[in-house]
Amino acid sequence: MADAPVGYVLDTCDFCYLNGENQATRYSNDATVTERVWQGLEALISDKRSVTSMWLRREMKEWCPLAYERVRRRRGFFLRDTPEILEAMGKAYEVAEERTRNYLWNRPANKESADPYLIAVAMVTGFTIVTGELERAKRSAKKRREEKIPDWCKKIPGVTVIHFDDLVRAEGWA
Amino acid sequence: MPPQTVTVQSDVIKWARLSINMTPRAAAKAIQVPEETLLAWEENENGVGTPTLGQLRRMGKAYKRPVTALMQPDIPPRASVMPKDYRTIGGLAPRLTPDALLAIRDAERVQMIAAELTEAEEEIMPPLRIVHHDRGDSALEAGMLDRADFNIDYKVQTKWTLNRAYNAWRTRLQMAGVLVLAKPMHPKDCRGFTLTGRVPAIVVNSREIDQAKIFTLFHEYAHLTLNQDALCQERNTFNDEKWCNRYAASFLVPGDWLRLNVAFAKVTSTKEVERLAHLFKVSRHVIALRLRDIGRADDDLYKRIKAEDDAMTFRQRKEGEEEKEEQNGGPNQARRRLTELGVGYASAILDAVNRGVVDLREAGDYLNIGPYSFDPLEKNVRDTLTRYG
Repeated sequence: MADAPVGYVLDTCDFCYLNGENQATRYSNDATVTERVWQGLEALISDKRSVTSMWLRREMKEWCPLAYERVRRRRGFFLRDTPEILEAMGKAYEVAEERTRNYLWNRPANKESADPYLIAVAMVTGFTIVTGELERAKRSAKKRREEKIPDWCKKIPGVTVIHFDDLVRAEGWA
Repeated sequence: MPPQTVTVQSDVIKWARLSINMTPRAAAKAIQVPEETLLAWEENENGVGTPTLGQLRRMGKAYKRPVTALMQPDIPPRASVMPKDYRTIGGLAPRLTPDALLAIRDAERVQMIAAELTEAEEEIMPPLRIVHHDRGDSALEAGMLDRADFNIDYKVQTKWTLNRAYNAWRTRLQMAGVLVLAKPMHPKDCRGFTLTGRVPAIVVNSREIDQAKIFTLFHEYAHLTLNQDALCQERNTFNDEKWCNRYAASFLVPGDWLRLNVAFAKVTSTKEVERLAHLFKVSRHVIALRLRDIGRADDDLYKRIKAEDDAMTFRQRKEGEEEKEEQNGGPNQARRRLTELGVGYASAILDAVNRGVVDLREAGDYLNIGPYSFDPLEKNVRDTLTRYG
């Protein structure tokens, strides 16, 4: 696709959504469709057009173990931290809400949050973030307290966020 | 090629170290750099330090913070490490170990989440039933009056086993809208602390024996009735601490019930105090205090027993016991979290999932559990409420 974004940064919820693991909704109940999307995703990973942070490993292992089994050996998919990624994260924090900063500051030591890493990877690679998270305005009133990836990225120049459905459409896998 | 360095903010890494009460020497050792290097990062005139990736990770581990926290551009606006009104002799800041500082941090996080969820939907937490008192009020009367709300009669209390008594009192407090956490802390740190706020929290030291934890629960609850944050250390002798001790003793051992169980003569034997402590499921010094209050014991007996009790209220734990427990997953993980976070918080999060206020992954993050621990947790919460509620 000529107008498709160059590459994507994938979130754990994309895999939960695609496989229906620990998630109320899934992309498709049709196994053939799911497999077609999987093959598209795997091709993207092989072409180095799809990456994520190494900090997703733990989350994926816990929340979508089947999907994790499928991608865990894909070379280059789980990006290790680099000084550039961490410094990009520092810049991302500058526009984060106070609640986000306090919440991440007080997390237990063994619980790294993957979100700041995903955003930082997107800032460094210029790839588009693909997530199932919705921006505040699209969430129900009860669920608006947290700043999610789309809300945070809106304030970061050059970082775009799309939903998994948009990725499938953009890549022509539908 | 030399290892690549990361630019971090000097004030952030210094604050992270101070927030865990670590000396530069100990921190430098843990990060595996010379102390001068660490101090140079912290005091750099350009305001930035330049550790390598490996050093940054070790720093996160030493300061008990995720690496993402250390990358913040400045100290988060509401970052705090201590209950605001902690009290020690002379008003000096207590020198707390990392265990206690972590417990305070975790409790603040849990409290923040519970308050946010209550804001989204009020029914998620039980309505708060704290009757506020004034320092001028009689602690004995206040404790006795508040007890009436908890509806535990003589027969029930005296038939409980010690562990059942702790769990039942703890559950009752949570049903009154108070979060009750149990965190391991060093014996020298504190016996417990309170955090006031929209959703008040009590934290007891999980290393104490059950009798001591029961007393701590109501001593801290007394602080909440006075509407004050407090960190209660053994050496505290302030009037508020005394007020809270008397409140807790009066709450747990109603004077009329105690009179029924003692002869007219003054109690002087430790054995008799032990019998009564066993009956009321409290520490011996609580009985001695109450006997003194009703004129059936002298101050000497109370002082002697208090000194003995203080020396043995902590269970001896082997080095690394908590870390070892942490490695087990599944149902054990659910049970551990319930013991640590309390049924009040756990049921609030589960309720929030059912009401669509949080999704399962957020709930997993709030409870620090994986998806397969939800079912056992739900079962444990139900069992706890049935058994002790």
